[in-house]
Amino acid sequence: MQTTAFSRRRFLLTTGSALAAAQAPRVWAQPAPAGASLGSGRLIVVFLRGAYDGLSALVPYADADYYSLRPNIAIAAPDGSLQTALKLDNTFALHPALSPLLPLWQQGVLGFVPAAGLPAPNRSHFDAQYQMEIAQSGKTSATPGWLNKLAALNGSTTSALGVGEANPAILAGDATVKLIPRGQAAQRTGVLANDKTRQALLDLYAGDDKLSEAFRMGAGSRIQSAQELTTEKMASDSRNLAAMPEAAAKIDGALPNAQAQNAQMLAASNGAADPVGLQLDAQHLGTLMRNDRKMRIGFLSAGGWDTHANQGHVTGQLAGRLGNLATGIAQLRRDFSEPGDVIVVMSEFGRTAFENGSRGTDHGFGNTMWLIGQRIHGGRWHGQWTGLAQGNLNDRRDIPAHHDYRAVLAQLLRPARLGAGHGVAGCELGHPHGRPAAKSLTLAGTKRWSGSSIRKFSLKDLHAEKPQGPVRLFFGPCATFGRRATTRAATGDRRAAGRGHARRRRHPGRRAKRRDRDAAWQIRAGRR
Amino acid sequence: MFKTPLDFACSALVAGGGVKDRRDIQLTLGFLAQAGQPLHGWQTPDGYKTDAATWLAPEALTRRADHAMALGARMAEPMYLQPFLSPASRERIAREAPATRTGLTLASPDFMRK
Repeated sequence: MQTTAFSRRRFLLTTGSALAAAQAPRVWAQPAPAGASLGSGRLIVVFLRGAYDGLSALVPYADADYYSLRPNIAIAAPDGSLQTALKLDNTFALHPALSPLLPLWQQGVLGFVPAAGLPAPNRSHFDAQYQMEIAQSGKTSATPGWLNKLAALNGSTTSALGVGEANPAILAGDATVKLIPRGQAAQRTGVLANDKTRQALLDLYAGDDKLSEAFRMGAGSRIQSAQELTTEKMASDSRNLAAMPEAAAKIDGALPNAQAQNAQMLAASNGAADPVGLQLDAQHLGTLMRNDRKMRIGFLSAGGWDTHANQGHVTGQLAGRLGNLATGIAQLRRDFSEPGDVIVVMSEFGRTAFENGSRGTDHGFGNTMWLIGQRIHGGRWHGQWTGLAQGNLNDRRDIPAHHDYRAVLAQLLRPARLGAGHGVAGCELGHPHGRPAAKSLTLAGTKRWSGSSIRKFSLKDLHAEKPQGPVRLFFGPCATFGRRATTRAATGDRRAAGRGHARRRRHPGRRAKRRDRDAAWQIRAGRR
Repeated sequence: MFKTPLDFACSALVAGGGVKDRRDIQLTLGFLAQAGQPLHGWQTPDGYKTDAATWLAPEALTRRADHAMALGARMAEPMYLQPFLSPASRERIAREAPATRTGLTLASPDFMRK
């Protein structure tokens, strides 16, 4: 596939995999019978609290600066073994602990946006997380989280489920959401299992005030989810026992390379043991959302990413976290692999490009977002990547956020447009009548950030191009990049940042323009 | 005002006459961690939120009931709380066996507010 700059606007994400393209229109073009959910996408957000180190997960191994900036904690360039990074293409490789995700990349359903983030740096975990959860700038009191807004937008047809946190801001708001605790606690009914106690409690909370209503709702929902999860656990225990040898044999024949086989086997054997950590939470999310098809929004979080000291490299603290994350994501993918499903992995900001004095990394800015699903044009990364040369870093220390995280999200929330008459059937997680959710969500409302040097994203970007399929995802051009680089050149390393643009000013010919833009954007020429 | 998990856990301990042994502490810390307000666990200087919007979540209330019943089984009935209960709650709790009365008092809607 070639990247052709066919207009000022460039498609970086085009239609989904062949599978999605072949199946989706047929499914979505049909009027949806009541309750049918084949064509309805689900969105899972995995939030990594504490700012995970994207440069250890998606390793820019071809960049010599990466190794000079991180003498002790860099992940070694791929040599084909599991002791080094796993090669994805000529720019990036994957942390070996993420090997369960390699098959997803090979199947073309896993993609990365390596330099996304807040419109302006904010190095406070709390503030940055909160901004990302309400998808707005600053602290606005009583602002609902964007996943809650999304649930509310879709009215009674959509509800949301959160696993792990008591009441995360991203799910807080008017729409009622279901929240279950982390780990095995989710399978327990607690004191509600005792008939007498349950009755006494329900009598105490019989009133029609908010507190009583909340209690009754909580009790009902908890009993139900505990039952569902327990039933599922018993069923999967017996299924696992019966199916393992066959599954192993099937994997053996199906995958072309040894690395992928290892990864698959690893994932498979992990599935046989009792899952722990994020995988268990992911499993709970999958079970409950499978049983209630109105649940189309899921939220999962994982902590412990704030690796200021001894973060490790191929092994160590961070590697352990990434391994847990990878099995969690692989588990999610098993449950959320319908054509419309998307899993997003995001974190409040990135970490410094260089290691600090205690073999860790400090708070940074831009970071890698992960996108998984048939709707995603995967097996490649998207957007701008300008490397780790000093002059291209934000404040000479961090990956810049070339893309507003909301621009990425807004595209996921964009309803599929299959032509008139099929708006409802084709609707993704957007507005039920085909209006992009982004508008109501102010995900696209980046006007507030007008002082920022980050490219502004607007709904025009969504509609400027005629959609060719139900799942087109794309990024518009990074219109302010030139200005950004020039500004940086004025203050910093002119040669590193400004060369392409200086040349463009001298030779404003069309071909030169295109060549320079390509150079500046460092856009890859498709899947390798 | 709606109690935060820390308010709730501490007032439940006080109702039982304070901390008697290790187990009380373990139960309390476990509850706080699970409720999303681990003791001294907040990452940044601005502290935990104190509003009902943050802490009043349906299933979280049922976890408070779990904690109340577990702690209540280990302490004498706090008679001094009686005047603070609504007549309906008082009457309903009195119908239960003495062993569960304490837990139900701590789990009652009246005890969720400060």
